[in-house]
Amino acid sequence: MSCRRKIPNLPIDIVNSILLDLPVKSLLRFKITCKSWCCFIDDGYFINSHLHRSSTDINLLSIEGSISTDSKVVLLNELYLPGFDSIHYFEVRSCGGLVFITYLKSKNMILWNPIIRKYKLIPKLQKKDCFHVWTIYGFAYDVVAEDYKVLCVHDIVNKNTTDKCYIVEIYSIKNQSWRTIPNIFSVCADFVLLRNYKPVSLNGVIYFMAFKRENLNDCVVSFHLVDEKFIVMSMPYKCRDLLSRLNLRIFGDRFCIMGTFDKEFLIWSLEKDWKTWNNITRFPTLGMIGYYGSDVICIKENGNILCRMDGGRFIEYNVRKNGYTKFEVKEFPPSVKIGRLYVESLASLKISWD
Amino acid sequence: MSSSTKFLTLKTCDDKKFVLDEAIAVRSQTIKNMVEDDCVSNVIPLPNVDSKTMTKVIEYWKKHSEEGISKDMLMDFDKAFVKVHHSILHALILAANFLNDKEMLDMMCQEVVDRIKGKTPEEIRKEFDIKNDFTPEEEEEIRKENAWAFE
Repeated sequence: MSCRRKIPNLPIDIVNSILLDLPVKSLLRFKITCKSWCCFIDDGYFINSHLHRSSTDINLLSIEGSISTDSKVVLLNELYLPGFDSIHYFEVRSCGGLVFITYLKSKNMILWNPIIRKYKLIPKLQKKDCFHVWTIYGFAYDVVAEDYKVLCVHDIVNKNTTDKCYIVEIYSIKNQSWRTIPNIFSVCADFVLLRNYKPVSLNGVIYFMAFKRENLNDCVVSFHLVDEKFIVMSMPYKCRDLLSRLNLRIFGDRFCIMGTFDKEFLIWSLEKDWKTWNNITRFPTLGMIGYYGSDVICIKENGNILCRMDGGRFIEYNVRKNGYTKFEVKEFPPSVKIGRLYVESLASLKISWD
Repeated sequence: MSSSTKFLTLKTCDDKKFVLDEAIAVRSQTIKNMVEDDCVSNVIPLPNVDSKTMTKVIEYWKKHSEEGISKDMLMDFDKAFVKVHHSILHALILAANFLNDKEMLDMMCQEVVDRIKGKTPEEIRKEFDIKNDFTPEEEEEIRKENAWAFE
């Protein structure tokens, strides 16, 4: 191996595990310690292991206010978005240590690693010979191809036939190129995607809110990067016809639907069979959680629900004791508005940043 | 002697002997395996651990085996226990690794993480006894690339 870690005193596997627990900022600094450390920290396997270890850090989010100090899971500060201006609407997706931003007016797409402060402009798509109605953007990490991918679903109308259909395009960060998914039309004829709901992604699967064409029932549609196929799933029974109050979210390693019904807040997670919904929690809203202005940040390992009200004000709901704890994280930047968790990562492998 | 022996004798690399209750000594997975495999003769040699380090390890094991000790008391003990010079900390990590006591190893490694995360590369080199093999130009380039990390 050309990249040998020379560490006197401590054996390699111990130094390895110490480095895995360090924050990104320290690791970037320690790259100039020596060539072997530099080589080790830049290694793709190390970067992936570090991201994986940091992702479990979400349990450190606690009422002691460690949210922005010690945890490697942080809230995005939108002021630092590359190309940010306060006027134009933008969307943000976070996945595997990277952030994908689309500015809806200019249609600029930017890939960003906030912690290492690097970004990349993704080339715009070619114009098509059709009426373009709208585009939904998804962002996910393809575990098999070890590649970050941007998914664009365009709703278009054929100029000649006036037929409506979807065109699906994928951008590979590794190959730096766009590609159209062929023969997608017949599946896409089954459902209508709802663009007002932000898609979420987990383990190479992107989830959309939609409804079925045949009976107009609400449903969830997932797109799988591995085989580039869509799957249509029914909603949890209670969610039907209540779309306006629902949200798609990822909590830990679970894809979830959450929403408010009759003064109750409910969260369902999708089981591994891609069919069954498991109601993982329900509790009274008391007018605090689930309404406009508040945001569920995460479900902690002990089952407690952490919500952000505004600014640095948080609520932790204890499901078992049915009680709330309010707390304020001091010195919380007021510009952190997105309420999106982001995991610190060195992820920059094979990306030529701008 | 058989595996029913109540006390074990441990011998460190500097030929010092420690007589220890077996129930405490088996906090070490390495010793536990030896006891279970019935390959314990009179004395267990610990060729990778010196007596100074072993004294600290046994202090830790005894405290963590005390009956009725509260979680808070253990936390206070642990906090004080890791406050040692980094050379001792490294020796304890090596000992915990050899003895295969994961709980102790994790605690000591976490202490190293907490100690080094705010340090400069120069301090790291000193602490880990690392020789800088970059040319000044190479070092400057990496430093520039990650300038914010040095703020």
